Amino acid sequence: MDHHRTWLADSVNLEEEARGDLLQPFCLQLEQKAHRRYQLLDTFDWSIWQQGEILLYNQTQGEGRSYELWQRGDFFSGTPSQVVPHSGQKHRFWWEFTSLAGSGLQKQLKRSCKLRALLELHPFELDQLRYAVKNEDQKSVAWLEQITLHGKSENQGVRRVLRLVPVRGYERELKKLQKKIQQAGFPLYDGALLEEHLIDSEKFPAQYQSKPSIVITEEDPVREVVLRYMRSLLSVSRENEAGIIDDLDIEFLHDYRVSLRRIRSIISLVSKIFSVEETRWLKKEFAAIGKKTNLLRDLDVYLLEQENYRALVPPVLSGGVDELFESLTLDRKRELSRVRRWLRSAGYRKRLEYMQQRLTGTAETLGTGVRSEQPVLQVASLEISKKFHKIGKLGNKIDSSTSDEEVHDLRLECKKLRYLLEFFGGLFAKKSLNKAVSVLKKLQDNLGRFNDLSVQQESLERFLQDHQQQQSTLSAAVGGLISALSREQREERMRVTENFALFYSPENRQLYAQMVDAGLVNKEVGKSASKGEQA
Amino acid sequence: MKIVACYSIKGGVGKTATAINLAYAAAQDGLRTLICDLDPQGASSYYFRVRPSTKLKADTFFTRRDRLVRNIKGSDYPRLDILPANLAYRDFDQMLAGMKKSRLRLSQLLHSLSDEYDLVVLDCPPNITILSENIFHASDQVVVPVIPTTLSQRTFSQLLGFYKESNLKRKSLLPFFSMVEQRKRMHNEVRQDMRKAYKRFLQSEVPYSVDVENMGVTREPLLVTQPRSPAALAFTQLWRELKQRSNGVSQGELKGAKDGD
Ligand SMILES: Nc1ncnc2c1ncn2[C@@H]1O[C@H](COP(=O)(O)OP(=O)(O)OP(=O)(O)O)[C@@H](O)[C@H]1O
Ligand SMILES: [Mg+2]
Repeated sequence: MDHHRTWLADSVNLEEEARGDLLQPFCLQLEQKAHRRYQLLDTFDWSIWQQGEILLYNQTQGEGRSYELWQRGDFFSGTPSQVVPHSGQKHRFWWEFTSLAGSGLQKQLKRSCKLRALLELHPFELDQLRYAVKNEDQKSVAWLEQITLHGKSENQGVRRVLRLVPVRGYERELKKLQKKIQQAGFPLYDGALLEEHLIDSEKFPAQYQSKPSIVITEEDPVREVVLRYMRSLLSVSRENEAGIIDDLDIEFLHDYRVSLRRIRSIISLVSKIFSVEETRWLKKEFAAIGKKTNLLRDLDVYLLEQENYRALVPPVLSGGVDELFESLTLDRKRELSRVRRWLRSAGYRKRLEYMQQRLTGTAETLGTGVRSEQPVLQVASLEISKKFHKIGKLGNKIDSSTSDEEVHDLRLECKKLRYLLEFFGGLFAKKSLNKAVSVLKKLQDNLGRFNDLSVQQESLERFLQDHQQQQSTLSAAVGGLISALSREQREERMRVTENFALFYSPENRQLYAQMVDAGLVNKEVGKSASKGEQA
Repeated sequence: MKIVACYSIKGGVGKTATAINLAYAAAQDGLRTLICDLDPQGASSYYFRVRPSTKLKADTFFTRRDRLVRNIKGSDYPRLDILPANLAYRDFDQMLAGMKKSRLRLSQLLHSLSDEYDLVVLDCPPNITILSENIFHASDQVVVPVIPTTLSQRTFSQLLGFYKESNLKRKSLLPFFSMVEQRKRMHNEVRQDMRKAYKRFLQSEVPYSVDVENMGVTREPLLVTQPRSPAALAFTQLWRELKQRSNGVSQGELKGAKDGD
């Protein structure tokens, strides 16, 4: 918006008030009156909004429905960057924007939405009055617009502004008009109209974050910091329950599980902060909850691979791949209703509420351990340093003869290090942290693919065993898939040595040593990483 | 950027009426359009309710792009701007006569606006002057309203003659019949004659109509006030035909390949 030409006009309506003398000697002539009905579409995590864009479904009567993509800063004062006419069933995923006109939009949505579904987050309406500001020759010297946003009902979340739009060559008149509006007592407005309307309507853009960020300082006692984390993570999990039950997209389950996994790992990565029995209880509880959705997640992942699998087998076997996926789709349906029932059950609800209550974490609820009161920086530095060193040791042993098992172990340790960096990253210099994460991520991606490929093979083998009596195209297709996957897996495996070498390079060791230096009480631990290299 | 002039040696034939309606049609068609009122009388400025500017001096008009740009004003319609008339334009010829490359000045000036506009429409004063020679050089199309009378027939031959002498591209000269009255026998005869003699005549004909005269009262293009009136439809048709011609699809040109000009 043009800041010095937009005014807040919440209590005025040009249509009703005596607008006659507002701009004397100029007069106003109504040129256009528009009323639009919109639905704000975005993913659960507002990914389009966070890209600086707004996706709207224009459902104004008599205007032909359409999708409109706006740059956030242009909203109302400019024009949408994309308009795609659309009638019929609304699209839920980026890949459904298949119309020719929609290909540009599809590309943009693919980038922001990924696997996420578009949800109808908020319906709102926009009233626009456009007046020509006329001089004594009845020539327009500017446009005055009144823009009103409100929710479904006329008085919900009402936001109104006046906006002067200049006409070229009438700068002097524009200045006069600005002054007149100013003098009439309208305050200048430089806010974001839609955002304010949303907040008024209790819709908070981008409030959901799958990775909670909490503020920590070096001196905070570690037990308290960990509890804060666990509470945020558990509420992230719970925010996803409804989306899993409604099966909106598979990212709800994913985020639900990742949060639980983060909780489990923080418990085991930061030991001795609760009492021994309580720690054991926490681990057991969270493991049990997590397990309930393993199968559903596995099925989600397979179904995602559908296209890839198809590309892996020769066309003659594609019928077999179809059968495979039909069968998996059925399995998923069955599994989803099981998970749904479980999430809706009173037993589950009570159990989770109880956990949440325990995590409020007074000394009485979870007990204390010997490290409870240690400053978080000290504990974090020690754990990161130890983990880095441990990975170094494991990785150094890996050569072409090492078993896959050991590669998997390496993957698990890397994951733990990643969590540590995530949890405690806020304590370290941003630059070093980012560097550390990016090197680690490269190794992890490699190991992750390696692991995915072996998990997929195993499950296909299991599938073969379960469906032994079925016709040969299916088994041939699955057999073909397994061998293709195993080839890919060998290739991934070959890259591990190289990526590990980067991770455990003298440069990276130096980086970690510097990072943890301030927090280490026993400096020997930090150095042992460099000793590992000579061994 | 394309430049279209509405020009005629004769006065009062409908140049201004054509210029403003063509400019409006083009802007509605999506082109960023500038109409330049080159006539010190300021008729098209009047129709757009813009007062003639007093600041611009004849000598700076051709030399100072920034001064010119500062005088451009937005019309009441999207994508359509206007450079209003200026009394100083009366001194154009005297001014131009003293300049080097005096016939190419306007072309240079207008092309300096090419990143702002897709089309410039020139509303020209009558007569042949150094300014009009500038106009001929600058314009991709010179649209000439011709009232179908024997007198107009003569002035049009004069114009053709001038083009020939001055070695100008006669292809860009596009006459059309203006203020046509079907009831008048002379109008019909002259039309037939002239079409036979000059193959590039535009097909569109603008009828004589009080609606056009009324523009003086409404001070808006006819296409705004009465878009479905016969004269308005004729202007729209004229715009379409010009567009086609500039894309090189011209029936006249196809037929008149061996046209002896
Ligand atoms: N098709 C028409 N039917 C009736 N009247 C017309 C038509 N076209 C123009 N007129 C009227 O004729 C007069 C002259 O028209 P216009 O100003 O457009 O011509 P011009 O060639 O620009 O004149 P000038 O040489 O004075 O600039 C105006 O009063 C106008 O309203
Ligand atoms: Mg004129």
